[in-house]
Amino acid sequence: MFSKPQRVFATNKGIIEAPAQAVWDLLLDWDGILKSWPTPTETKFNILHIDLHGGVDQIPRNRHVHMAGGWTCSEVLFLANHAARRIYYDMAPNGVPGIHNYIATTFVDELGPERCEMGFNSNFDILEDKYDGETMRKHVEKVYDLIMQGYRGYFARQRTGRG
Amino acid sequence: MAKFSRVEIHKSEHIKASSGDLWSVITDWAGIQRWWLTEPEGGRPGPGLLSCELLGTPDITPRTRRISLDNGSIVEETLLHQNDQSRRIYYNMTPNAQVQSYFATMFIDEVDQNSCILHVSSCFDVAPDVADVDAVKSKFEATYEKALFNGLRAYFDK
Repeated sequence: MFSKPQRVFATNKGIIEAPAQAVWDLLLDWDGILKSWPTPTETKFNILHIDLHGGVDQIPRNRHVHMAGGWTCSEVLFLANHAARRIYYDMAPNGVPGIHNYIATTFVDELGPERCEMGFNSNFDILEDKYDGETMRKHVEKVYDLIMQGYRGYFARQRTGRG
Repeated sequence: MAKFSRVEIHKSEHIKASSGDLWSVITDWAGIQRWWLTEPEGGRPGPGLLSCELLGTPDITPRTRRISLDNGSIVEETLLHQNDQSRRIYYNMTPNAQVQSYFATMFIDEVDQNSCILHVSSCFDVAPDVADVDAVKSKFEATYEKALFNGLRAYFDK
């Protein structure tokens, strides 16, 4: 039950020391998150495995991310603008427990030959009173931090030949 | 690679209507002629509205409204997600020479039985060859403030 929906807008951005096109390619590798996701020693949000539903370049395509916490997060990539390097995707209700109507965008802006900025924005609703919207906003923004942390590690390994 | 300009807009407005009544009007996707104002009536500057046609079925997503303007241009907006419980929609708009990747959400928060707040947020990219990005952003802000908010306020004041 809920009294009123809690509306949440989450946002984050950060610098990645890598070519914008390489970051964009990794972002579109929809079931390839484990290539860059932080290790279990770096995060408590551990991914067990990912199933891709749809072709690797197909729009829409759906990844089912099976989390160690016992839930599955289903995310559908439904728009990819290669010229603007922006995607939109949604997440099924309770893909993260408590979150509904989640739709997000991620974009990549080139800052130099080996440097770019990633931006993340999302809107969602908290419908159950047992969850706090502000806490959930921080949680989602932390996930965006983890994505960028993972990307930084991935490209650092690429540079040192350990990728 | 040419650089697009990222734009975000967030607007909210108090409307003197029950949240249920406003929700019915907002989700009547091709019914914008019910509340659209001309520029002299306080509506958005620029081309006027000629017609709005529904492609799809009322109450089923996705459904598209095809808006024909009196300067000959046609805009299509597709409602992709509708949650009647939390009163939130998401929709997109077909790209044009200036704007790509347009995606927006509207949601309604009840204040009391006779009033509510309508929120609209959008993200889009302005093409690299557009010199005045602020002018493009202002056009969308005018659409939200004058077409949408003024139009709905006037509709419910009748």
